[in-house]
Amino acid sequence: MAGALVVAAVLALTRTITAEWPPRIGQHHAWNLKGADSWEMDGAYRRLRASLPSRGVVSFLAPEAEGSGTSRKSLVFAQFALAPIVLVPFDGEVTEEGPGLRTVAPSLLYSRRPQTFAERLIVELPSSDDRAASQYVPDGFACTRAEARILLCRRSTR
Amino acid sequence: MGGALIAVALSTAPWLVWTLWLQKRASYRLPPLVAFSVSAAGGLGIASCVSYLLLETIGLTSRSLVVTDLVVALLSVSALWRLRLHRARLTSTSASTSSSNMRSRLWAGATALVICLAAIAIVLALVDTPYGVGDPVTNWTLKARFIYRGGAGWTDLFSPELPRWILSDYPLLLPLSIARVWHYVGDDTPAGPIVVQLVFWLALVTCVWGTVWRLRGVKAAAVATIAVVSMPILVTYTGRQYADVPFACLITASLSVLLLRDGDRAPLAVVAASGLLAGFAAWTKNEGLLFVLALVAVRGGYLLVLRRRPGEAAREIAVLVLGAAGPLLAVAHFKLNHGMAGASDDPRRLTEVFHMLADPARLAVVMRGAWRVLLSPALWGWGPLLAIGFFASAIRINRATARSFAFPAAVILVMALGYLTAYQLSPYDLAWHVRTSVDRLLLHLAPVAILTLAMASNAAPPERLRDRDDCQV
Repeated sequence: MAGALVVAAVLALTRTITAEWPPRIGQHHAWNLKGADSWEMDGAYRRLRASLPSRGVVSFLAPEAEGSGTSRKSLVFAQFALAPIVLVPFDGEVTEEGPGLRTVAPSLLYSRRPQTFAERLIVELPSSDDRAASQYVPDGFACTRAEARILLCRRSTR
Repeated sequence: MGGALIAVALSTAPWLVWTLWLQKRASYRLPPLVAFSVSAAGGLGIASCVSYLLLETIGLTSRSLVVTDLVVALLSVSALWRLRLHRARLTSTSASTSSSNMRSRLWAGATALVICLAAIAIVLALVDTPYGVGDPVTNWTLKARFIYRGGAGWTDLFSPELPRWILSDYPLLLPLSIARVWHYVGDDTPAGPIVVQLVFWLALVTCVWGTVWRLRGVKAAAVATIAVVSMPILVTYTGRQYADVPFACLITASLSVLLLRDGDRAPLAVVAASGLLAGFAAWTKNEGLLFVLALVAVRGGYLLVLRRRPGEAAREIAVLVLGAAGPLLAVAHFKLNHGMAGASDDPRRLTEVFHMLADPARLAVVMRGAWRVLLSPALWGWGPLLAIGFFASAIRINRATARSFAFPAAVILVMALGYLTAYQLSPYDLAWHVRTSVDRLLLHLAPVAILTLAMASNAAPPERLRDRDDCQV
């Protein structure tokens, strides 16, 4: 019985190892990127990562308000270590994405506790239109355009 | 990676002193691998509690952390030096257990081979998903980033405006352990959570091996360890960096030292260590509070009913509770100041609670979900089943084995009932809640269950079984 256990364990673990071989660094991220909608931003996020401060909380304003794209994006952002991520959609009400999941309505963002979390803020714009950009910049933040659809903002007033 | 290893190594210093103190003052030598396990898991626990103290007082900065660690390390070195002077007087109770015959070496070698294969499988999973999957991304590592990067603003973590999937009411052993490593590394690298996870995994494995080896011999130790290590669910959740692996490690270590107390005449000091480890389990996950209650209640009942020594029982329970007090104070402070952010603002009426508890439909959903998970070879592999077969064929029913089996089995039973009650009262969609968590709850109990089975077997050298018949409380 004990001998069979050793053989079974070795076979099972060997099978697991061969299934995962060769090592694929960050394969899971690639899977996520393929599965979501606006992952052409991937390269932009990666570049952004290098320009982020090493300390401090960064919030992230995203155009999506609901759906699995939002949660996937938050996951990918966390995996890219841009986090702590506060994912705030521009539009839509408080939405339940299944038990325990919630996104935050813009009314909360702009009226009650604006920019609660961040000294730094990343804003992903719904389009690269310059005229659209200004309306998505919260009060108290000064922004520079880091990518065509990404603003990198810093708190200018408390 | 070097910084991460330094951070972990420094955290074990107080426990190293403790194990040497145990040898000198109580003439008791823990099995080396159990000593490693307790030092690693308990060391990370103490370090996280100290980090929490810094976080809540002067702030958790690289400077405050290094200065505190240096003070602790210097005190430890000083204590080690003093203990070393008395080394000649040390004695060991474990001489009789050392086995060097070829068969023992073969079993140890087979176990080492399986552990290495499991480690490779885990490392491959970690390479594939270096930031973890699921809870670590949305909870444990995210919290660590708030602590590490947030500075004084780390409490934004508890803002109600954050998504609810950040389990803000879960305590901070894991996030603080990760943040501590990051402070030493100087960056919030994925190596932080990976190193912490691997240390807990190794501590779990070595704890099972060391305990069963001392109490039931090398073959039983090999069977128990291989059964635990080869479970695909353990490989998966270690690779995904879930807190359930550290939690399983801490409760296994806590029970193990009490089994050594009963079966190997370990001194009362190990009971304090058991309480401390149980407290760290509560400092890791909320389920740990249930474990502390289960441990204290079952241990008390066990000593009173089976051992019939009320005086000794009272003393042991007092030491157990005293050991758990430090981490529980941290938990209490955390809950009172931060951890209620995720609490429900919709308290149920008592009648509703009774109705939910007695609802057979809810019970059926839970049992069906648990049963489906338990019967899945994809989650458990064939290791636990073969281990059950091995230990069942070697079962010996006498007073000593019955006692050794009864205590951990009762703890598992109380834990399982506690989990069942939590499901019955779950505010979430029950089917979803069971589907997404029951496998991890069973993972908590699996290593302890295998350890318990090993205790029922007669795989130990005969002279050690005779010893246990008259062992002290």
